[in-house]
Amino acid sequence: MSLAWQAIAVLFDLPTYILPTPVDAAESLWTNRDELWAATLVTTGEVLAGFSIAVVISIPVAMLLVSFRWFETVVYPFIVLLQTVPKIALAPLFVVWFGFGILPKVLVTFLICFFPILLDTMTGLRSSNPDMASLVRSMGGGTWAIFRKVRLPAALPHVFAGVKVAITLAVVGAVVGEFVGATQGLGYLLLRANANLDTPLLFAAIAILTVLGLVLYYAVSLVERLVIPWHVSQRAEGTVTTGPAV
Amino acid sequence: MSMADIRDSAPVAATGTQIDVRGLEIEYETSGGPVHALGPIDLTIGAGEFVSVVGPSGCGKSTLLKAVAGLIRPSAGGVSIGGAPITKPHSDLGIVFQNPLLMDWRSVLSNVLLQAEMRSMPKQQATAKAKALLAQVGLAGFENRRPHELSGGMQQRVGICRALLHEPPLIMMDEPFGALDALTREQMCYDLQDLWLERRPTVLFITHSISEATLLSDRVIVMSKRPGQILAEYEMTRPRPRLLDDDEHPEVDRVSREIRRLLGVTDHATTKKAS
Repeated sequence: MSLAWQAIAVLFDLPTYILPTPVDAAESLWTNRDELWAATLVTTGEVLAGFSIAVVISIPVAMLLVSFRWFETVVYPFIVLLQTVPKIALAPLFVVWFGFGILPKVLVTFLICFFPILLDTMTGLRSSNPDMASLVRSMGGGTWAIFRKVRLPAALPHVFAGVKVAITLAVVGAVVGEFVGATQGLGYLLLRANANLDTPLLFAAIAILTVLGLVLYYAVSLVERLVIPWHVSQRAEGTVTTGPAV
Repeated sequence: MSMADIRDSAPVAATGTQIDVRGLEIEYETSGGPVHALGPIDLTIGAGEFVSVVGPSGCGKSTLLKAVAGLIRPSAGGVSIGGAPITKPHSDLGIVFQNPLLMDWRSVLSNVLLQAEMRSMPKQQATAKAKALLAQVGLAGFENRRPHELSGGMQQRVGICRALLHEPPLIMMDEPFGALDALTREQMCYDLQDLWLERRPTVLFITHSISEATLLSDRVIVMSKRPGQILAEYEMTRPRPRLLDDDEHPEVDRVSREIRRLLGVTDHATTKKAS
């Protein structure tokens, strides 16, 4: 693909500020490596902070929502209302409130990640067979035992689905946060490159953001693989029953 | 895997508990108003007795089982087990549902050991017991497999081992073989007969299958369609161990015919000829 890109850029003799060749972009990546690296660290920090806070908060909130009807009745409409406000539109407000530091970016990232994890965790906690609860009750277990032995493990595949959506959105959140008002980070660098018509640098930053998203996504997938190797989504294809027929 | 050795030995003393169902009625609230699902039912199941309940789909057989197990609250009447009234889920029993209800995240052995964990049974003893039970139903060597690697029949055997691990005096089974193919069903029936003969627990067995009921039971209860009530009861007296090939046995033949008649199963060809 990058060969085709190179060919198009060269053949049509496009100016570098419209479409730089991959070689130009790679060059820019190399010459600006120190600045790009520093920006990457900043953005990664914001992504991880916002994402982690979302995981830590949304999963327990989902547990409360499915466990207590009154809590769901009272709190859930507010959560939905909050979700329908475009988080990106809140970003300028956060800058007004919290300044140009890391906090508004983390906040936008957190808000973007919160809902998918919450929703999928709730679905997961409600997905187990009700007879499974009867089974645990017949063994003398109560609500807590059912939660711990049945509902929580059964919810994990759903939780991971939400977490995987969230981690990809998290990068968007951090970059948007930086667009609105920042003095560092890849989003800030993008805007600056744009203003200077430094399109090769723009491409370099985009490439880094893409790689960052991929690395984070596969890191989450790896954790998923380790935590729920039993789930159908994690099984190797073509697993067959072997052993004596019964 | 068959346990021919027990078949020749003298009957074991019953270890089960008695169940008394008095005036039991269940009503559900639905969007279309209350639905009278079951009852009134009066039923006594003696200690160590194997009682089957047959009836049309939706007649409340499963509801009856759940009410007896204390998993749902009766609207009227009540249940007592071993003389004690049931007010909460009864735990001195083993339950097997139609769905094996195995946990994907646990190995076969660990699924059976769930019973031990919930009851804080000593781990080592429970593990040995679980392995022995699995071997008894032909699952030796499968202890560390995941449930999804097993066939439907094998999964249901795991569920049965789990229900038997703590040697309950009472076993409730809700169409346990309903989802299995015909041959597997027959084998499971024999295996269940052997397991019962070995320990003589009280069994409440819900089924659609008249042949399962007549093979396994001391008594077959026939239920009407909703609201489920008891239409008839049949004592099955032929000696055990019984065989599924005994269709010609006068008792099996008579009871099977009567149950089919009660449940409205008609043979159109013969009906036409007769009329």
